Amino acid sequence: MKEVLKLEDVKKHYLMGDSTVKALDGVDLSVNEGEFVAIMGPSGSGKSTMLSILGLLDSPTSGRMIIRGKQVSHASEDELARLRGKEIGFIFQSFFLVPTLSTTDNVALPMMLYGVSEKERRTRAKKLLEQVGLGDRADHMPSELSGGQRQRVAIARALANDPAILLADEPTGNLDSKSGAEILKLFKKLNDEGITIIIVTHDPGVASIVKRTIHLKDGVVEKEERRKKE
Amino acid sequence: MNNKDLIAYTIKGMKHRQLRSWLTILGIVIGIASVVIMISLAQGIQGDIQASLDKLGSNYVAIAPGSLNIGSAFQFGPPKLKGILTVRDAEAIARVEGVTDVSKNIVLSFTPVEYKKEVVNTNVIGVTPSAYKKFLTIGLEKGRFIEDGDASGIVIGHNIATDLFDEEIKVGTPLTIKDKTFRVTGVLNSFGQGGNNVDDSIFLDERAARLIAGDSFDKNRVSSILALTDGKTPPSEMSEKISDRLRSLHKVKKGDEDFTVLTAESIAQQVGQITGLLTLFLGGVAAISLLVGGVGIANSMFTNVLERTREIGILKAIGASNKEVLQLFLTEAGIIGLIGGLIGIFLAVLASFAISAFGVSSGVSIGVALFALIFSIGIGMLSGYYPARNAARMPPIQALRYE
Repeated sequence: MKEVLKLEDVKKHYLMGDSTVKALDGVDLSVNEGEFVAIMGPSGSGKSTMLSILGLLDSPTSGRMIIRGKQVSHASEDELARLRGKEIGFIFQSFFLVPTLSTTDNVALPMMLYGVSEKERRTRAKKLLEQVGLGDRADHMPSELSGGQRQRVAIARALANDPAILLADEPTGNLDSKSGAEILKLFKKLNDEGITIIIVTHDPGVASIVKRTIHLKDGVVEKEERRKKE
Repeated sequence: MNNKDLIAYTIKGMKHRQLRSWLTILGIVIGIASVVIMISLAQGIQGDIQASLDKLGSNYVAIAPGSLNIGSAFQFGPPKLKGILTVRDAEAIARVEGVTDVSKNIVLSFTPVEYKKEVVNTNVIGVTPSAYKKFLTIGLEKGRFIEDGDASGIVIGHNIATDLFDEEIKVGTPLTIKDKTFRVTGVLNSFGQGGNNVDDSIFLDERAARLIAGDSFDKNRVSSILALTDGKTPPSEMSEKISDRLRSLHKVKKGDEDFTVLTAESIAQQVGQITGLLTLFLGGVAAISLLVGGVGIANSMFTNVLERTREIGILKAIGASNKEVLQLFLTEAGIIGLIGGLIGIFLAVLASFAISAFGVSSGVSIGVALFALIFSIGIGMLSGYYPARNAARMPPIQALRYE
């Protein structure tokens, strides 16, 4: 199995007044291609910091992070932006679609930022929308879609540049249980197609469908569970 | 992101916020339209004045009584206006080397003129016909100019012929000026705007004018003197020669003159100074409204950045660099400037057509329009820069958490 993501002794310390908050205090993690991982933990466990660092939105204070064999920790702001667009497919709790853009344009947006030609963008966006089951909503505006549909668009957008990992932050948190279950089913289907997925959540229901769960507590990995394929 | 993508993305966003986009654009429209109108108007006035000066040719020196020192626009207090010119002065000027003809002018403003029981007051000007004819280059529409010593002939301005009386006055028509009856020998071509009332004046021989004026006008006095020159000596030098002669005649020192000598050149210079100030003033007023438009863009862009904080976070999370976010907001500011500038120039062109209908030629020149457009885009981007930079520097996590 090819390793797509590796964290080595990653620490993130914040200075708050006179005291140092150790949000992450030495985390090691290795994720292989095709894995389906949940990162869980109560609030204050370092989950959000972990998400920011995995999503390349923040740099660690120390330690190394490697994506697809490339060292990415301590990259410049511009390099981080480029890597976010290419290697990370971000999925948010509140969907975060751009309200002024149509479904297709939203999905095409990361490709536009990455410099993919317009023709190629449209073709790929259409294919991705079909992949998430929204082939018939290509020209809708986000405001015309239900929560579950919006999250599907967000997933299609996350897949746009063929990233190393799909990184989801509480993807079912703003959805009713039926839509939530459908989104999880979609994640499972995508994972079966070979896509690497990391879900950061405190929802135990999510943990039941993943193959591997990492529990964070006080900024360190407390325990790790692996499930055999059913 | 290439330029086409930037513009397409920005326009989609602006359409979404249509009302605010248009209001911001309106601020720039008003600023640019007023700048363009003001500059075009000032240019138009300048052009009109220059055109009327050109109609008089350049080989003349005009001498007026009193010192009307308008050489400095910043001079305070009233100009010195005392002093008179006499026939003796005119004869002395005629002897100055380089002077070919001299016209002794007698201006009788607001003089009653009668035709078929209809009495109207207008300018009656006595001139030396042989000299004045050469000065007045507009020429005659009909008939001929009066001759020196003609006691009964008059030449009338274009408006006198067509507008002053109920009936059109034709060559050969008798007009009564203060009990004396004259016959129209010629009608002048229209002088047009800025013609110092030529179109509304009646010209006759100087001696005939004295008869009309009677005792109210001293027999040695003239209202003004016009000297035509041979064109070989530069106007400024001619002006100095004539001034010298008059200073010794009037026994005054340089700087204390009780007369004013004007040449086409000096008039153009003074007019240029005044219209230059006018342009500066009008431009200044307009620049203030443009500044207000710029503040409007900055304000709107700040609101825009605040409102789109979440969007900035999303864009950064999915791969937009600081530079690209900056570009997006600057593009929006630039587009506002561009559209505002185009509409502003269009309105200014319409307005200058309207102004032209009132008689002042005012046209928007390509140069002014181009300058305004570049300026408008520039001011848009300049006022949009600071908010855009704020947007670009926003840390993505913070932007995403923004409620």
